Amino acid sequence: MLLTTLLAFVYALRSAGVSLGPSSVIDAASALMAIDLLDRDVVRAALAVTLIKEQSSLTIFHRLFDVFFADGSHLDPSVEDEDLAAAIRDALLSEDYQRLSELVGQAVERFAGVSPERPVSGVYYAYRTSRALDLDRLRFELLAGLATRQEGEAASVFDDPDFQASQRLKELSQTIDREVLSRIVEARGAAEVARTLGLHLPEDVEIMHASREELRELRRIVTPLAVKLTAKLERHHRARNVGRLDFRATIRRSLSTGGIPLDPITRDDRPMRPEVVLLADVSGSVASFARFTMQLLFALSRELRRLRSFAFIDEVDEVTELLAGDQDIEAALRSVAQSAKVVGLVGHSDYGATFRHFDERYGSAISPSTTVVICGDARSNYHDPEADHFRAFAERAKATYWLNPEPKGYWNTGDSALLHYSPWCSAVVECRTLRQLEHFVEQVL
Amino acid sequence: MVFYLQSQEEVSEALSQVGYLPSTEIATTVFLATKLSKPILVEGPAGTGKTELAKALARAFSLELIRLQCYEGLDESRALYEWDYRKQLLALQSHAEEEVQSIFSSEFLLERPLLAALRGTTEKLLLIDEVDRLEIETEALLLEVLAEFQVTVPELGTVTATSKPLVILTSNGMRELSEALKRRALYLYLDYPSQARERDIVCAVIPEIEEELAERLVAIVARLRSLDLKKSPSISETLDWARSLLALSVQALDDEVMASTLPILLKNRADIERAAKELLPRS
Repeated sequence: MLLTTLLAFVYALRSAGVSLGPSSVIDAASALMAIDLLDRDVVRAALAVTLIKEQSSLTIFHRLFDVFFADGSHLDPSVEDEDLAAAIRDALLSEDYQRLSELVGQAVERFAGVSPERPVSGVYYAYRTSRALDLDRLRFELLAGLATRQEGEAASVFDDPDFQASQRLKELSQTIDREVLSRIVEARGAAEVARTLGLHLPEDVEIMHASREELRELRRIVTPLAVKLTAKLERHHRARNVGRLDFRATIRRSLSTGGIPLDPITRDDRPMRPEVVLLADVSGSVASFARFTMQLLFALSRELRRLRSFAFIDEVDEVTELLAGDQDIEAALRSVAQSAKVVGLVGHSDYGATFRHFDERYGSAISPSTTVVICGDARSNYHDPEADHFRAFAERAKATYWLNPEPKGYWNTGDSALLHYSPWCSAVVECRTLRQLEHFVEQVL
Repeated sequence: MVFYLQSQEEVSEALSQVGYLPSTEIATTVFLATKLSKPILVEGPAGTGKTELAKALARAFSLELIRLQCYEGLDESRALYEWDYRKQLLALQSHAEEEVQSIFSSEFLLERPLLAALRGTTEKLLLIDEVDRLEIETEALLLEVLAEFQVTVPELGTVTATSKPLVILTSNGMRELSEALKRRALYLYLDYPSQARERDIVCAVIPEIEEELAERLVAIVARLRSLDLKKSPSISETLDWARSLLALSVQALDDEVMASTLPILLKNRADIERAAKELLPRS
């Protein structure tokens, strides 16, 4: 029975993209034999340390754990309807999360009206529950409660009750989600619910369709990803440095030892650090994708000989300086949006005009040793593609890559002008997720 | 494994007694490591108590702590063992020729941390610190020790552990560790603690502190961590801050105290400016 649940759980983790070998499953099973199965936190910890080998998979693990090892409902029927909100507030104030989940469980039971036949997702039930609890009033009362506790002390803006209140409300909405989930699972079965949740690893989330929550997660992992990529590229560059035997130099050196080549000399293969020019479409439809590409390449700039970044919508402007400033990358990307001159006459993407301007003004940036990376969906709003200008600098460059955040099936449909540019590109690469972006960087640089 | 524990609660208790407050997750992981005879790979941001966990475990269960600090270029002769060639030379010179065969015996072996952790009779804890600094090829050196608790010396044969040590590896996540290494270990991700746990940690480490002050302190630190800074304040920095507030005998945490003590929590100029800009009132 336990083993069946474990295997179903493992299957769901795998379908969400977590890589998980049989040896981990065996470890998990033997871990379950060793621990106290009645303590849910211990079971959670035991499975996490045996099954999960990467931090980025932990979010998915915890979501799915709640589905497969749902908490049995333990209700406290002593609380009346009107008191429920008040009791929840008190639990939040005293940070008694055990009690909180009991109370929330009851609220869900009462307000959400979970019915097994309806195949709706948990969001609807969670919404009904939080509406019934009146979160705005709860927030107000929390603020009041937190403020009275701090009365008499010299307050600093640093411990802002506002921040504390939102932290606790976040805890509350997570608890509601959990409780709703456990009730749907009761009604529809764990495997079924796991399928409808549609979980992905952050690397596999489609950037163009990511929710705000997912984007935040992505932002968090871009920098560590860049650190890892840098390490990889460094190793790659160094490995090539071993070099082949330099025959001439070895013979000449051997003269000093009577013609015996005691000390072979190798030719240092100087690694070619690529010189990159990045042209990124920062218009609304692909802005978040452009952002991650800029962030990733900027973080990698130590491994590049030179990196020049340009942003465009229907006018192109150099943003290298803005990105390289002392401020952190977040602020830099904001200032790209504000102070770069990327909007010209129309204000929506015009690839043709962009390439003409780029060729005229910054054409000298491209030499035979430059790799040009263009990111955008090539949706040019039916403007003249002006492929001649594109061809002019693409032919001059060492290589030209086009990163397209759209699924391959959509290319060259509607107002996509990709058709006019792709003949001059070394490759057009589908780049919908961070993983694909990472793969591209690793292959090309 | 050397000690026979019954449940994760015993781990919790023992660790608490030496001043390290483990979460359920930490205690369970340590308990499982002893049950399944597996190393623990601890990953997480700097300053969340990874190395401290190993030290606390050594104190709590009176294990001998053997530490291998990893760095780029670490090799066999510094991690595993080395032949003491001076001793070998001396032996060759001072003895008659019939002794020559025996210069590759264990008396000429210089123990390095990995071998030292396997030999001898005392119970040991092997801490392999910052394993992400090793090159990926050198990582393979560790695999035999981690999985089988043995080291193979070509001239001598295989040295197997007399008593299996508890092994803890730490990593700051600078690079992806190899699958082979991860598979052999239990993976424990140590994030910044919850406010309640951090308060307990502060109170446990600095008993003089008033609980109320500790409570407000960790609330502020939690707020700073939510700011998405370059380097968020770690637990050790929270502790440093608490200690300095005590030393300054600060009663109230007002804006002035905050502004002057902020550099204890944040070590990066841009971060300090950012925190001050976002949190202090514009004057």
